[in-house]
Amino acid sequence: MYPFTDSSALQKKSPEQLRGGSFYEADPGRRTMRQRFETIFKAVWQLEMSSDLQAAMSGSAATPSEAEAGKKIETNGRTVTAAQAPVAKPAPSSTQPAGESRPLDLDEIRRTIDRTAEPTGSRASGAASHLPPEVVDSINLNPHAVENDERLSLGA
Amino acid sequence: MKGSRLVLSKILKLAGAKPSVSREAKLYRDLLRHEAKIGGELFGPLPPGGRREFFCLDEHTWIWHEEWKDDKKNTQVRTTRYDVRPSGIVKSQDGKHYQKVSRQEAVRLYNAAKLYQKRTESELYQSVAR
Repeated sequence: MYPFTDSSALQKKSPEQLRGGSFYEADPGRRTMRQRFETIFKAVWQLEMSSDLQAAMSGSAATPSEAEAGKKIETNGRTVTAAQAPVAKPAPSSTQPAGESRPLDLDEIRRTIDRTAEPTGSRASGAASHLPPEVVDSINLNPHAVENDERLSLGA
Repeated sequence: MKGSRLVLSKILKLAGAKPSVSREAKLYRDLLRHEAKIGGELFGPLPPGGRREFFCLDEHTWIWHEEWKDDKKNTQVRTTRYDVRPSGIVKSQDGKHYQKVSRQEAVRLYNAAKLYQKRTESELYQSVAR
């Protein structure tokens, strides 16, 4: 009998199996991918639920649409798309080639962030004041890059 | 005979379990690396000598990693961690004290996160997304 028409076989499956749970259980690779996918989904959801964002978004458009993201805007003397605009920054004078060959050292990054003290939730003064302006811009998701773009600027 | 089969079975199980776990861990790290690369591309072209990674570490944490050349051609590194909590969003740079992000920065982080979600889903997770 063709397996997909065997209704008795279907009835033996648990609801989770019918939803595809067994599929992920049987394939560790897919299960891992599914975990990452769900983690990203939850992380974005946590962001949406944070009080800071709720306050900031009140009365504002939440996310740029595809069309909005692709719209060209002028920023810092360059034309970029809105999708690029949040952290677009002026190119420095250095002419060295980009160092793309080295893989991301996740252990080093994790060691760095593990050194982080417990958050107090209060504003600490001068944490980034020693950084070059263009780096502060990028770290701060470049507040200057889109200040003239009313779709992405809040409270302007 | 039956006992030795049992032992062999246990050894195979143990031997098989460890590589499986490490394979999953490796896959997880590879996925994270790939996501970080995608995340770094969300914000436009890199300056020469620069390197940028942006990725979701876990449900509450986003990481911004930036490397650049200063005026003396020395490599500078800055890692920024955004912690997202129901009460608000705080960030820490290079493991130093936390500061609260501005509303504007919160919105930009959110926009970046949404684009990150969209890009990673279409480029990595489409087959497992439902």
